[in-house]
Amino acid sequence: MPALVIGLVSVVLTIYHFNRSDAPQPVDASRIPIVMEHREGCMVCHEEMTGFSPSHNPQAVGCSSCHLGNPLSPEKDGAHKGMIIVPGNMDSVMSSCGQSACHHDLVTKVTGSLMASGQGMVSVNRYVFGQTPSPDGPGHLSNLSDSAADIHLRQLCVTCHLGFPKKQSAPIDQTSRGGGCTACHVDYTDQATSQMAEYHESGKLPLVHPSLNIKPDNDRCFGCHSRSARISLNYEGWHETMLKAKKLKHPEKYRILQDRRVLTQKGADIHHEQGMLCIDCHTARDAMGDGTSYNHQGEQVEISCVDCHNRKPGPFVDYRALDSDSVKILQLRNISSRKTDQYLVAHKTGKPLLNLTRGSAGRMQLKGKGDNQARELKAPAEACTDINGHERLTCQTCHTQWAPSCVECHTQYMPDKKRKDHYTGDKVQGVWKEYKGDMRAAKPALGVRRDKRLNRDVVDTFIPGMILTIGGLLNNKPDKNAPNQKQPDQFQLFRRMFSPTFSHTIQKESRSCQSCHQDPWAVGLGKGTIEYHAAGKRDQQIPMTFVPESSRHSADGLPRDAWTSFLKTRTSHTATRTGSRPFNKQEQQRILEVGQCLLCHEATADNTTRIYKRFNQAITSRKPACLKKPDQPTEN
Amino acid sequence: MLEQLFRFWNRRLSSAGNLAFAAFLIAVLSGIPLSIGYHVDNASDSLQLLLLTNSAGVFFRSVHYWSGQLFLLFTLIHVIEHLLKGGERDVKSGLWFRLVLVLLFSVYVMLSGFILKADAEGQMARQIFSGLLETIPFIGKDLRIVLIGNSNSLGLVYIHHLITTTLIIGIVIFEHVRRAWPELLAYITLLGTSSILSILIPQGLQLADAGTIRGPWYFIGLQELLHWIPEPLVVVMITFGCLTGFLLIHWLKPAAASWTKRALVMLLVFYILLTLNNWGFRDANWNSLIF
Amino acid sequence: MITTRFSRKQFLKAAALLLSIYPLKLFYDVSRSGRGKSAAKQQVLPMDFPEGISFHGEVIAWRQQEEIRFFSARCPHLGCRIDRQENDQLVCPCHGSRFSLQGEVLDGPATENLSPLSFVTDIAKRQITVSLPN
Repeated sequence: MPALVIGLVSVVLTIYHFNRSDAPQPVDASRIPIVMEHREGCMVCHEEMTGFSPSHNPQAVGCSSCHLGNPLSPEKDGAHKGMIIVPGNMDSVMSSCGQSACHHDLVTKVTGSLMASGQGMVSVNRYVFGQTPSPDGPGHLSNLSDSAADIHLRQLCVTCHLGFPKKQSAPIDQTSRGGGCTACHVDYTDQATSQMAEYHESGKLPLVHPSLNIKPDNDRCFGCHSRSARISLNYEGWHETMLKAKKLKHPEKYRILQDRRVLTQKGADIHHEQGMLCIDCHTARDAMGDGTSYNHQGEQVEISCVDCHNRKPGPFVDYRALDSDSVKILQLRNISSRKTDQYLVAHKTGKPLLNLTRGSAGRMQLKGKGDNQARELKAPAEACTDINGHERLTCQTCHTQWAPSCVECHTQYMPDKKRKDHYTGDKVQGVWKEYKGDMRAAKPALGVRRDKRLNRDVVDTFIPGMILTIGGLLNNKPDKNAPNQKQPDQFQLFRRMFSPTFSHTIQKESRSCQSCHQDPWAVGLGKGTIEYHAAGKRDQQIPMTFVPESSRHSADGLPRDAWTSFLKTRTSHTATRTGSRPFNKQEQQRILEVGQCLLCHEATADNTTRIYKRFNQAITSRKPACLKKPDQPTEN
Repeated sequence: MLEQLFRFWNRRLSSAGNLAFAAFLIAVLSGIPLSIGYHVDNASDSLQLLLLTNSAGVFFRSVHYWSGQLFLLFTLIHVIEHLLKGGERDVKSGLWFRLVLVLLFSVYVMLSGFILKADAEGQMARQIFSGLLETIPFIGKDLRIVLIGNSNSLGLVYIHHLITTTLIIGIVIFEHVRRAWPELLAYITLLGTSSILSILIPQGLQLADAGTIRGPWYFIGLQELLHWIPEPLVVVMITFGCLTGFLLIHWLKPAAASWTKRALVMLLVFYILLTLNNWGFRDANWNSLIF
Repeated sequence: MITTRFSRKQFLKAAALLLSIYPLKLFYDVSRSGRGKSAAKQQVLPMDFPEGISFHGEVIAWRQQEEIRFFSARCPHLGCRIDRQENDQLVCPCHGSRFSLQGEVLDGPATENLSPLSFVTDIAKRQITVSLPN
């Protein structure tokens, strides 16, 4: 009896199977190409797709090597089983981009790099919250815990890493986050964009596929790097205001982003004005990782100013001596006349910089990776290197025009509110809310940073990394009984830390001497005025007082926008990097002293030679007039 | 307890032996149309084209596969069923010897079918089988030549799969059962089951770089054992020992035979545990997911 | 009439068995013919294969800057083709043997290192010809 039932069911099922409406139509074998040693059935239905780059064309790699699925099934459901619609996400990248036959090594490097791990983000955040004793340390944005610091990150920051999945096929825009390889390398033409938009609306299959190339435009970087230090905004000269988009009186004066932030123009970086893209400086090794696990962003960057801007450029490497990856990249970029060129080698890593060449005539030039235009490189001026006392300065110390300085904020834990936890995707109870203080576009403060590679201290630009109060913590966990309102003075944790930054607002003109030597903000004291008093005797230090503009914070008595105390040395919890610190008492004294001379002796060429280039001797030979109480400096 | 189960089964469905016989026949018959589309000199591509352009071919191939697996499964169940009752003494010595030999040939016909797929797994299986045979002292290399052939072509394996083993297994089954055809109900049950399985779980091919490379299900335990024991000859000898033990139970006294059978059952359980460990707790790169 | 310990039936059975050895031997001879093991094979690779490890059928290539090395992808355990890498180890998919990126055996049933392969570079054609073992 059971036998007959089985038999009947099988007959019915078989007849249905062979006569159903979506049974596959017979196809001629010649229509099924052989790709990577197997038949690629996908291309029978999808043979009209175009828009690919030559190296990722289905004729070369097929469809299933990226999108997986089953290339040996003639039916839609069977073929699409196990398919990845958006390949390149980190959770599946090893089966697609990173498979043995393709980019295995490269993908391994990317998964260990900072854009994937966000190690510095995690370790510094934990340090600020008091969870760890140092800003260095392990951490990965896909491996967060339930501590107060990590919940803060999960709610506010965690989407900015490559492991955050890209769920929908769409061009990258300002709100894009993550996506693994496709975060940078997917290029949608206008046609592909409109067809994809139509697909999302009506379901009509697009016939133009985005291409994969190595020319990520600045818009790929924009989504994540328009946050935090705002590098993508700064580079193009945009500064984020505290204005609300819907309350603008003259909206045409501003730029409004997709997330409704309101930007105003403050002056772009000269490299942007010259038409350079992010990738013209930031190499593949620098952005995608070189196999080493770095802790902080600055350590992973390969390029430095002196690579391009050098009176004696070099060393160089011949085309014939290039490694195979570099040769391949040159082929892909169609960079002409490459065989006779010499390629500049980066100071930091010793690896070739493929867009910096010296031709047979000996002229150094930079070829834009986007427009293939040649640009001549300028050597630094004399003043950059031959002023006594300026030995520790980095290029950006003088040439940064402005940096976004976010002064004072408060982060409060609200136990009653709910928000999305981007780590798990669920809505959770208990929310970290940030209240912004003032956001200025000002010349950055200066301080001292330990350069690991050069193994010495340098003077660098700093912006407030964290001047904040964190409320609502109990034993380093969010406190359910924490006060619900914005009460910045009823805090439980107070931090006053600055962060070294390269603001990407470089210009040819440097800042004036007065802007560092007379400005308390530059020295890290906060906005205000320095009052110089009479020195009296020639061998006496010039007495000064500081009059701050901002009121003092009740937590530590310093002005609300200050980094350090006037003529005092602050040592603990001052910065978000080990080895970074504000100027100590002696350094502050020496810097501000020069400011007194500047009151009367403008920094003309003559005065610079006579006084400022030999300041230590000049100060010992001051005239009596110098020792009297001077006219105070005017506002810069 | 098992005997009760078998009685229950035999009352409602055909016995395992009948089902195995039916499976064998269906496998042979379903293999015939396959040989039209299968070109042994271009095996992988001919199969890929079959999968992509011929839905009847896909169906027959799946029926061929499923009936083959059911053949092995029901043969094993049939052996267990009869050995429970001391059935090793119910046949004459010569027939017993030929039946044990046919058991080996059945495994070989299954393995040769797996190799003939010529996909990544099939190629690896051929390589491993070759390697294992060659470890046998004295006759190893010659045995490999006879069973797999001397060159890289699949021709000899194909001939054995189609003709040699089919004939030998067919003749011995006939001698054993004394009938040319299985019971009609067994035939219907097995054809029906194979068809249903073929439509619900059609067979494909495992392309290269596809992650997990595993042999056929009945050899997973062996694959796991080969991971643990570095010298393949040891594994071959263990297998040979088990087979010899199995062969000898016909001639042993009932008590000794009973102990031997118990030992073999223990080994079978151990083999199943090895299989489960590999299936459930290892990833494609042989990392253990539990240790 | 000759009376022996064997019956006629037994004698015929024994004779048939003995005689069948010869056809089996002939069968063995036929099996052995086939196309024969191919002559020493070679594999040609482009000069610009990627840095690190790359898999090219029966050849595993390794490159670091100017240094290049080639290994046979045949696992010394039972001859499977090694086609994958996990972290800094080459993994055999059949029984899990592991090798360093220099072909040294690290773990698993294999007990020997991967065979290094000799090669000839043709700079003009930008090709490398690797000699495969038999």
